[in-house]
Amino acid sequence: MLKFPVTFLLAFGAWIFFTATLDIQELVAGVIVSLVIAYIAKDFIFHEKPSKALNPVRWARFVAYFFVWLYLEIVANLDVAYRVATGRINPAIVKVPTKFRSDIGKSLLGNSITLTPGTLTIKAGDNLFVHWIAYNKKKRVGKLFERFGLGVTE
Amino acid sequence: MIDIVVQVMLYISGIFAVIGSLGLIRFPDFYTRTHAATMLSVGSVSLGLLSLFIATFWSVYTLKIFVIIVFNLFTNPTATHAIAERAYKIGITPKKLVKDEMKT
Repeated sequence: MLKFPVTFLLAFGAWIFFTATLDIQELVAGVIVSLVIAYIAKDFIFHEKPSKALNPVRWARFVAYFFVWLYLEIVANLDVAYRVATGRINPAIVKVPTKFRSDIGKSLLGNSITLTPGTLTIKAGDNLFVHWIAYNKKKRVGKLFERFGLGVTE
Repeated sequence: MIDIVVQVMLYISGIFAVIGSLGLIRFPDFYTRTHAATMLSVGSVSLGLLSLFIATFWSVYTLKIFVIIVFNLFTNPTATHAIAERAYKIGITPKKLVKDEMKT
């Protein structure tokens, strides 16, 4: 039952975001449009319990996850830049077992891995298959993503 | 002060764009080239847009630029993954590969 109001709030928030005004006409139009959108889209947005998406602890963890991601992103960008300059590549396709069970968790991990230069998710399922430009026996792809991401989505 | 920060970020973004384009030429096969393309679209575009985010702070455009950055970060990996999966399925094989755990 929470599906409808949560979708409505998201749509209305986005409306305020885009119009960037608190004019009463804009707000009324926004409410009407958001109601229609919430009615149409409520079944597409949430496959799981909507209370999960409103939990502030998860959002706090997501912020932590974001900064971890940002750090890895910068490191990976510099690493790939170095590899372009030197031409030193060691590509391999590795299997990445994951503890994520929900769809949103898997897409979070897969997208984070693809978004990091140097690693690219080729196949996503119970295990991810990742093309890795700098194969290294001792390291694992997505270890930090998994450690910080589990608390966000599971 | 803010102008200097914005300029430095734009320069770094430009440098990343040049390096990424060089990678597209230098790398041997499809998959490694994708890494260079990812670097282009994330490192370069996000940084460039982020500098605009700072430059326009705080006006009507600021939030819109932020939304563009977020959408770029969501859609880019999805598209890249779709292309790569399809490429692997129709049989584009990597030229150099030290290990393939997908075959077994």
